[in-house]
Amino acid sequence: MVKHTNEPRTEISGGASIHGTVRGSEDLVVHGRIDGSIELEGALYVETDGIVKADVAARRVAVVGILVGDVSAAETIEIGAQGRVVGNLTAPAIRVAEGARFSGGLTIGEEGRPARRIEERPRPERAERIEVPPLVEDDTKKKTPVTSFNAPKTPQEERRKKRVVIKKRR
Amino acid sequence: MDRTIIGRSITIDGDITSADPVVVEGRVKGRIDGEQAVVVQAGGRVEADVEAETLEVSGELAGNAVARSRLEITAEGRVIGDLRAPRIVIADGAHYKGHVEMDER
Repeated sequence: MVKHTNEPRTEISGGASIHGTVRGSEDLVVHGRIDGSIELEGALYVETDGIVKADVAARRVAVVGILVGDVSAAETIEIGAQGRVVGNLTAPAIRVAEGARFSGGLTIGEEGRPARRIEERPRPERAERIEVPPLVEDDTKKKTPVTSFNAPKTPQEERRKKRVVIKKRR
Repeated sequence: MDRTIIGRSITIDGDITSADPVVVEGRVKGRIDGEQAVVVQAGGRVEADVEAETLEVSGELAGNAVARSRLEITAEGRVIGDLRAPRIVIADGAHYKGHVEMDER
């Protein structure tokens, strides 16, 4: 499938499976199966016959086989048309081809910074505090004028009334 | 031909099971279970019990090894552990410490 670089690389053949941790600085091509975790400074290629059930950290990740796990890449993550991926992906650039199957979270950008910024905002709390109390206060304010139509007025108004009454009597 | 290659920079902490030949140029800690040939290249370091059809060690092996047909430690090889195989070759210059058992099976 993918063009491999000419650097030394490691290959897990179709008949092989690894259970454990794989670490290294070169490219890793998987035709077989890896269960565990993968940490690479190179690229990870999961070929059509490859199955990886592991959390992956690598420079680049390309999947045309099956990958289940959380993946973070320093450069790119690509899911080819035959690829099937379940997990959370984090990379500066992610490409999912038409026909690929994917379910999970995506964080695209510099090391997941955008997602963190959104989470930090305490939006819901602030909204509650502002909206709910005023509703109650507004009700009482609106009702007082209506019910107090015949209620005693301010001392100044009372005095003015009295003056008028006095004038009429004269 | 299909074969598994563990490259020079790679470290595996765990088990490898393979129906295909396995070549180790890097490090493996754990266990290797091969149905065919297992080769530990010069520079390769294996701290594991190894079982294979044939085993060839030019690097370092610390662990017990069982080969169903043939086991060889080449002149560059260094092995610490027990060996069991019907045919065993330990080359001139090889380092070896352990117990050897050649059974007929």
